[in-house]
Amino acid sequence: MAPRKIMVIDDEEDVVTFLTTLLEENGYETCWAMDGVEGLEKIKRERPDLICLDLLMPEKTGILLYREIRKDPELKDIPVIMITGFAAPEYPLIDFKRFISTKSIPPPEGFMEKPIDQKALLAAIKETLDAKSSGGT
Amino acid sequence: MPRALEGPDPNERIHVDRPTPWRGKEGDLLKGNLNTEAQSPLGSKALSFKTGILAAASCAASWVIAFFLMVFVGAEDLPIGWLLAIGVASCLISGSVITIWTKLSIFDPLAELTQGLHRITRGSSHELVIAHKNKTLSPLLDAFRLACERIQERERQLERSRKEFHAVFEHVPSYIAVIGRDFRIVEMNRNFRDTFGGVEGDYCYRVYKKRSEKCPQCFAEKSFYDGSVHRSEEVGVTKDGEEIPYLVYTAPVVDEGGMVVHVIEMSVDLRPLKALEHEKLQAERLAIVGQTVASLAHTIKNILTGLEGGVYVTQTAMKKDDQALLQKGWAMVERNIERISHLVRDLLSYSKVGIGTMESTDLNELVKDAANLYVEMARAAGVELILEVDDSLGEVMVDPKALHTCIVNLLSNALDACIEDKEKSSHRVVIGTKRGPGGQVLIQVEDNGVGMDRSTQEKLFQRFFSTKGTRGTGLGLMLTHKLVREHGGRIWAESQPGRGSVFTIAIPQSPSAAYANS
Repeated sequence: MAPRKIMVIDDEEDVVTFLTTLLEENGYETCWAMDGVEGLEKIKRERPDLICLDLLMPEKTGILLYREIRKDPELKDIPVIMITGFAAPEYPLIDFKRFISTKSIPPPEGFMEKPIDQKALLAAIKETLDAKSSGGT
Repeated sequence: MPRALEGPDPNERIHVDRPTPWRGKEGDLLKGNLNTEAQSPLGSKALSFKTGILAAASCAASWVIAFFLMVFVGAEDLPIGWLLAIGVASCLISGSVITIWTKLSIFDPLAELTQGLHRITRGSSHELVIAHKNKTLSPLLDAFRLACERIQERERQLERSRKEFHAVFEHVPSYIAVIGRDFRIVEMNRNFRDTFGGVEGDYCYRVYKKRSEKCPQCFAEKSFYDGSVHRSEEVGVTKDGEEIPYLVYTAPVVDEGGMVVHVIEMSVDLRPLKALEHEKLQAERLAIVGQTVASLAHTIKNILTGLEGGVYVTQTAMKKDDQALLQKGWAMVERNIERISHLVRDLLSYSKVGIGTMESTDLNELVKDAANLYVEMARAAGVELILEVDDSLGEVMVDPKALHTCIVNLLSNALDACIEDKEKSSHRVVIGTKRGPGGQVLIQVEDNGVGMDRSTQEKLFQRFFSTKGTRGTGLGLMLTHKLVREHGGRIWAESQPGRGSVFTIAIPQSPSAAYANS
């Protein structure tokens, strides 16, 4: 079976380097983008099996990008794991998990907080991909 | 000038001018207005005198009648003795009739009226009672009765307002003192007496502030001088020796000739307000601490993510003996260690640095010193550094170290904004000083770098807000903001994305303005 392709979208270079290295070491193929605009383009081109998406990015935030993915009929089935520091300092009281999903948009498949727990992230990715492939067959 | 406490029109306050009007005895006013020469019980002397004159007049009239009788009846044959007798008799009869009629119908009711008025004046009666029924004088008596009723009604109204005024004066939750031209207290209310002590006749400065001489800046004196209301925040000393902040309004009391005879000082205790202000400040401080801790936790988490990532990448590279990956991973570790040291340094400076000693400082020199630090860096980055100072600025009272920190922060941000901008071919940073409105001096740092959008501008002075990614801690501008505020000044930014930014610090030139605001 060909390795699954995972896309990392984060505006911090360190996080991108860390996650791509971690995922490649664990047998995944990776691609990455450093902002929301570039991210959407690459998702359409690369068609990853799963996306690790940072919540807060300049220009286009992870929330906006997530909604666009879910509204696009060709991309809406790609599972997404949201990654963020639990809350932005400017908005300490907003529960982002509730904010992301609306009536028409389901919540993301996974939610990871920084600092990233390697084992938990790998487990979440495996679980999500397994669920998707079993659901698809 | 706020109107609310200025009080009513001076003409309406004239009554305060009179010595303690609310303590006057009932009927004072009537006594003053109606007291005539008729202090004897009935004014009987005057009346008897008048009655005599009338009798004499009636006598003369009788003689005239007798003369006409002689001429027209043809009594020239009667002996002279008879004629005299008839004259005397008619004189007596008509005189008596006129006298009795006058007494009964005019003088008796008048005497009774006088008596009644005196009874009312003395306060022993409230109603004008006249026993005599007399048609001739009844309109006059009715008019008097009506006048008396009106006067009594006015007196009752006056008494009522007097009592109301007294209640307000005594129980209003303020300190009220009426001051004479010699600065002695003419009148004080209960609140004043209970708080400051003292008695009427004491010097105001002794009672208010326990001073032995007049206050150097006396607002009562100002009101005496210009006849207008003045307002001031003062600190007094209570009778128990406690210092008490109060807000005082001094209102002139003008006499009929337009001269200020007294000044009323109305003061409000500011202690509750100050206590509330203090509580609010404490609450705000606690909220800031909470926010700061949350923000700090977030920043540290981000750094930790980078560090863990760096360690993982380094380990992986060592396992695989991948030199390129090893360099990448190690760079991540180094970068994040640097972030921690930046954060710690900024945090320390934020907690330590506050406004220190204010010194008379040449701002232009301060700006030149700060700019010198960046000359080399600017040259290396290809940014032109331009100095534009106003030589007529003179010296300004500031904490030079604190202000130096502010200028350095702004300069370093301006250079960063230029270095980050890849659009323009040439970049410049202009730092200058100039005079602003209202005796302020301005320090401006202008760049033609990347600029900022509105949302970035709104968050500029918040804790841990940074656009510099891993290089910034988001404390520099916040620290600058804090220091400028402590100088009683203001900092703001104007910017357009892609065009550049101007940061302006405005500081009051005089130290008193700075302390007042801080």
